[in-house]
Amino acid sequence: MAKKTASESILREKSVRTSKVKIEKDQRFKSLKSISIISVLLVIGICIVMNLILDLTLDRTLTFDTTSVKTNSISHFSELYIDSLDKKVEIIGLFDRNDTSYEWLDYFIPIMDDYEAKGDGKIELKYVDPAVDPFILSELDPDGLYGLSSGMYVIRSGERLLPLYPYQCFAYDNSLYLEYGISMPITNYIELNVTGSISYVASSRPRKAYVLSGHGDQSYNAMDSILKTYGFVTSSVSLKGESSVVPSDCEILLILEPQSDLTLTEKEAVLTYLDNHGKILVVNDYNGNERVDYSNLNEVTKRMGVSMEDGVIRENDVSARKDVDDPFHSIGFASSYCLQALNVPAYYDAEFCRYMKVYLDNSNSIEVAPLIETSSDASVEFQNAQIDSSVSSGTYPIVMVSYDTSVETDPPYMIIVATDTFTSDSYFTSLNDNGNATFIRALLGDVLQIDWNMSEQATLVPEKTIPSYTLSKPLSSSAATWWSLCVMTIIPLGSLICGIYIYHKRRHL
Amino acid sequence: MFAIFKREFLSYFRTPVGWIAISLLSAISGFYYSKMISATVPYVNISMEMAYLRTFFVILIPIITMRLFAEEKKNGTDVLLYTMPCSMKSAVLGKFLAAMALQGLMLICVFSHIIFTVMLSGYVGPETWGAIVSYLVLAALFISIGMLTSALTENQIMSAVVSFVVLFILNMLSSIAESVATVIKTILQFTHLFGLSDQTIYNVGERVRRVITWFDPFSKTSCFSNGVFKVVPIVFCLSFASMFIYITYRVLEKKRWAQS
Repeated sequence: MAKKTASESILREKSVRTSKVKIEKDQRFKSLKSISIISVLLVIGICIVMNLILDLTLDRTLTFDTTSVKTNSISHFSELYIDSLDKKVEIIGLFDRNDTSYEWLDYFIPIMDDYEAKGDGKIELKYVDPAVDPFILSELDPDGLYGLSSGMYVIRSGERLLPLYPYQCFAYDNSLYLEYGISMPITNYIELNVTGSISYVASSRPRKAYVLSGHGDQSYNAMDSILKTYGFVTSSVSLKGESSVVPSDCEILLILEPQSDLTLTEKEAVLTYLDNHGKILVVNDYNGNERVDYSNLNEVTKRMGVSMEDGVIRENDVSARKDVDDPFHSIGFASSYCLQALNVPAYYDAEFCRYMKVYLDNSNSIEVAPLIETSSDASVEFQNAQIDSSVSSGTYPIVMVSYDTSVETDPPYMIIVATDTFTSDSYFTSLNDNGNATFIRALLGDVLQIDWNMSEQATLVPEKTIPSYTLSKPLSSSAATWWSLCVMTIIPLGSLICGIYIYHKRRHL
Repeated sequence: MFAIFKREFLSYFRTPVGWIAISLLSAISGFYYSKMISATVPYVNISMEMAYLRTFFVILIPIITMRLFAEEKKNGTDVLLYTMPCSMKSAVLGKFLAAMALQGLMLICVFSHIIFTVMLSGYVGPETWGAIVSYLVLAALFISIGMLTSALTENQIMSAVVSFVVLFILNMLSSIAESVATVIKTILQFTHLFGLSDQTIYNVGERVRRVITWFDPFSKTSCFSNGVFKVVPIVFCLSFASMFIYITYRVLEKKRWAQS
């Protein structure tokens, strides 16, 4: 009995000791577990907070542009210019910053970040995707004057706004385009365009455009709106009085659908204006003014290398007609020169186009370029169905631009349009989604040097050469196949064979 | 630590795993490179190739990391890991460095492409080196995530699947952020909760999107390919990699105590 009691007490003692150890171990395990959890949470917290602080404070400072021509950062000139700004400028990217579908995006994001970083609060950069925030377009452009859409930047300061088309900020390799149809950017003008646009929107200098009055004046709201987008104030001017001159602040004179010819005084005033680096836009269609003799106006246009004739263009190619039954309502085609020089659509609406032709005498230093043309199967009809034997079936210009090459700086320019579908209010129900409006806006921007590549800023802001990734020693097709075979097979196949060999050798281990 | 690193690194080549990983990456990069040199106009941009390779992390990293700890469990050698005469930190770091070394070795094909490009008078600039640096820091982050899933799961397949899912989510983070923001905006718009204006609802959605996108390591490091060198994204990837390594260490420590 005593023996049993002794063994029982030993057992009891043992179990108490074991449970004591177990409790001790459980407690140590529990405390280790809680230490683990707390330390992990602490590490996660520290990691997030540290990165947040770094991101907010040092991200810009610890960013370095390693490219040789500093493609991703702004030049000293732009920095100085931004320092001198006395207004706040907003740069709004109308797309998602992380949208990889835009191939130009990689060129823009870093330099735009640099503008904001060096803007010292004067430059505010934001990205708003109109697909996500549809209010942004109406907020920026309530009247729909600028044709804003996804995939562009908008630079705004106060009331002034300028859209920036990313594709226009590059120079492309022409030889590659002509040979293979590939648009390979070789130079980037992003800084030039952005600094120029900032300078434009921040400037308070008003620009003036004048519309010649006194010739059966039509309304010109559409043109007024288009010019307003470039910061122009449009007024009408009469040049009929003795010793009338075009105002000295006139940057472009618009002669829109005159229903009568210019007077001698007007002709002289316009020619003098042209001689003084003037720019004119002449619109003269063939609808309702067939019997008007435009000899004075024609002298003005001849000075710039274009003669307006007394005939209307007839489109014979049915597929190039807007209305198959109407040979006078046709499709205008952008010339290759136009597509190359301006980022514009390829087709336009053209109606009752006046026949015009290049007029160059030997002493002329005028350069004329057709921008919009008919199809190759158009002809000219003259009054009373009279046919001029010298005019055969072919391509005829609808819009032309001409300038005087003898004047080196700020040469006289003329845009001549043979139809009113590009300027008349009756053709523009909306300036958005209208190819003709897009064209005339781009053309005016180019001629009026809204394209800052041609402005005085261009001499100061450097252009940036994009490194060429094309191989300077082009491969023949057999060499390319050989190289492809090498890089695609040698290393992968070699390591695969090693893998199979090892698997066979060691599969039983 | 060096002993574990050596053992682990060599073990990649004693099994087909290391060879297959190298073979896979070099086949993918070789395909991309050959596409560039055999184009009508040969346009060879190695940083674009690196950006393309980054999208394959989702497949390659699970292959490399699935066996790190899960295989020890399968073979029953995890007990050795817990009882060996070196700290658990060394074991975790050794394994991590071995996986990183393999990842570095996998880039041998890219280096061969760089040599070919230079031989063919192509351009190899700072963008290329930036792209390689960003590739490696991203690899460090993803290997640490893969290592954690390997330590948490019971077998290799499960580990590979879990790390694949996590990396896939990280890959899609920007799109996920977009969708979450849209859902939040739609809910707020439909329920008229808190009576918020449309602009405020948009701002709320945008904030949510930005918060989620902040964690996206891909978008943080994408600028390297353009010649922009940023220190903060590198710190981001390396600090989060350290965090995952630390969590792995704690998980293994817990298991070690649970064993005893």
